[in-house]
Amino acid sequence: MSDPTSTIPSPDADGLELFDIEVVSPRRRLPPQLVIGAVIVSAIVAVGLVSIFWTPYDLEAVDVPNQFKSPGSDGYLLGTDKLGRDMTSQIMAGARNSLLVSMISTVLSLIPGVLIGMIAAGASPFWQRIISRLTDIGIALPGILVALVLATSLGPGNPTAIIAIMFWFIPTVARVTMGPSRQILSRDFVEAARAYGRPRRFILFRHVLPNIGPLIIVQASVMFALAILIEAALSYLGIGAQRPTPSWGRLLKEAQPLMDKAPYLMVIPGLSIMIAVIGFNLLGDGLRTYLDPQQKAKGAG
Amino acid sequence: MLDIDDLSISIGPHEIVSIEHLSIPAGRRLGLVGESGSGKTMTAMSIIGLLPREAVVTGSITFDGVPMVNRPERELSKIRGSEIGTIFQDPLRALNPTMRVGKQVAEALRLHNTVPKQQVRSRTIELLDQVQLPEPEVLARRYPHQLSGGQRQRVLIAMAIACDPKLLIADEPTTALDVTVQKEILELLGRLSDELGMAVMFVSHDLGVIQAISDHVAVLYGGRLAETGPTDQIVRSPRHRYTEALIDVNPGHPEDITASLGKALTTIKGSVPPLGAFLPGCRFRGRCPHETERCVQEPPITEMDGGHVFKCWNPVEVP
Repeated sequence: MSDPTSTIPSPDADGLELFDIEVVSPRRRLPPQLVIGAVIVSAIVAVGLVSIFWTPYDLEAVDVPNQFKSPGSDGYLLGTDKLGRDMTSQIMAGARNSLLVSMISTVLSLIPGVLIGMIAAGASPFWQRIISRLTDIGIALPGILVALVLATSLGPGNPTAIIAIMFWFIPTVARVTMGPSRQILSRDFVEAARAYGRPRRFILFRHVLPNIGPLIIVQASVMFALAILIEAALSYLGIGAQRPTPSWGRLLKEAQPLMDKAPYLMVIPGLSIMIAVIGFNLLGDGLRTYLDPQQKAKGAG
Repeated sequence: MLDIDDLSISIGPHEIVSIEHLSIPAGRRLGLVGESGSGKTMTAMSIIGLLPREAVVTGSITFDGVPMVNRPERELSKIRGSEIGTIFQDPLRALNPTMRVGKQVAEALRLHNTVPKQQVRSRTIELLDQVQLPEPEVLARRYPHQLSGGQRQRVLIAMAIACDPKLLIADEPTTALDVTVQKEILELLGRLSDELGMAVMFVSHDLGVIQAISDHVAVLYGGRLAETGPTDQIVRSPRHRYTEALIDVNPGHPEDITASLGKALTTIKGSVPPLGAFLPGCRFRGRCPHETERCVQEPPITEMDGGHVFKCWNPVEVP
C-alpha cells in the first residue's frame, strides 16, 4: 500500500520535517461489491421514487380484455395479471412499499437496539447478564410466529409487518452492539475521558457511538436486506400488505394459483425480491470491507 | 495538599496496596516508582476514584481538605479534570481515534466551563501552543493517528492542564515514547509544573526518569511503601534493600554505555510474586539478598531527617 507517511525517516521523532509534509491518508479503492450494490440499490430507490408520481398504468385499473398479456407484448413491459392490471406499475409501486417498510422498521429497530446495547455494555455485570439473557430470549423467538400473533390482534397490514420486524431485529441489534461497545468502553481513551471528568452517560454518546458507527452502518444495510425479505414473506403469508397496498410478496401470493397458466406473474416479483436483497447484501458487504478498521489502520500507518 | 493515610486497596481476598502515609505539598513533584504489579498505578488512580469496579478502598485520601475515598461518582467527576489532571501511558490509546485532537482539547475545556464559549477555540490553540506543539492551528485539525507519539502526549498534556489543575497525575507518561522524546516531555512537564504551580504525581518504573523530574520519591514494592524521601538523598544513599537493588540494576548513564556493553547486566533475582503469594513479613522476602530471621515480621518504620522514611529490618549501613 502506498503510504505517504512511510517516506518520512522517523515518524515518531518530534522533528519539524514532519510538518512540511501534508499527512494524507491514502485513498482506498472502493470494493467492487460496494459499487455493484450501490448501483442496484440506487436503481431500486429510483424506481420506487418514480412510482410515487408516475406509473405506466393506474395500479388498480382493471382491463379484463387485456388479461394475461405476456411480458413485452402490446406495450406491457412486464405483462398483465388475471384482471389485466399492469405488472410494471405494480412492481414499481411494490419497490416503494418494500423500501418504505424496510426503512421504517430498520430505523425503528436500530434506535432502541443500539441504545439498549450501549447501556447494557456500560451497566454493572449483573444487569449485563440480565439484558444478555433477555436478548437471547428475543433472538430465540421465531419471528414468523410473533408476526402471526401480532396479525391476529392488530390485523394484517404494513404496521403489523413493521412491528413484527422490530420484534425480530431489536434483540439482534442490542446483541451486536453490546460486544463492541464493551470493547470500546475498556479502551484507554474512555478511561481518559473519565479522568477529565466526563460523566459515564456522555461517554456512551461521545466516545462509544462514533467508534461503533461503521459497525452499525454495516449492520443496518444487512438488516435492510433482511427486512425486504421478511416484508415479502409476511405479505405472502397474508400478514403484511393487503390489496390495494402494492407489495412484491402479495403479488407472489396472488400468482401462486396461476403458476401453470402464467408463470411470469410469479417469476417477476420473485426476481424483484431477489435483486433487491442481493443489492443490499452486496452494499453491506462492500461497506464492511470499506469501513474495516483493520484496513484503516494499515492505511493510517 | 494531597494526603494519603492508611490507604488500603483490595480486590477480592487480596490486599493490593497498603500505604501508611504519603503526601504531596502544593506545587511539589513526587515520583512513585516500582516494578509492574507494585500497585503504583492503583495508588495513583485511587486518588481520582478510577479503579476497577470490584476494588475496595479504605483509609483516607484528602485532596485540598476534601476527602476523596468512596466519594460519589458525580462529585468525583467534577474534581477530575478541573482540579486533578491526568495523563496516561499510551497517548495513542488515550485519544479518541474518531475525533480531531483540537476538538478533544476543547471538550476538556468545555466540560468544566472554565472559559466562556466564545473563547474555547482561542484557548485550545493557546494550550496547544503552551505544550510546544508547532503550528497549533494546523495540528488541531489532525486526527490522533496523524501525529507522532511525542505530539500525541503533548496533546494529552494540553487536555490535562486545560482547567489549570492543582495536581497532575502522570501515569508512566514517557514509557511509550522514544528516549529523545522522553527527555523533551519530562522537561515540558517540569516547566509546566513550575509555571502553573501545579503539583505532580509522577508514576514510573524508571528511577532515572523520576530523578530527572521529581524532588521527592516513594518506592513501592508489592503494594507497600518501601522507602520515601527526597530524591537526591534516596538515590545517593538508599536504606531499603529494594531501593538499593533498584539503583544497582540501572545500567548507568549513556556515556558509560560502551563500558557497560559486553558486561552482564545486574538483575534482581526472581520476579514479583503473584497476588496472594507474598510471604508474611517484609514483602521483599525471598528476593532480598540480605534477608535475616527478623524479616518474617512486619518491618519497622524508621524516620530520618529530611522526611526520609524506610521500612527495613536490615537496612543499608550509612557510611
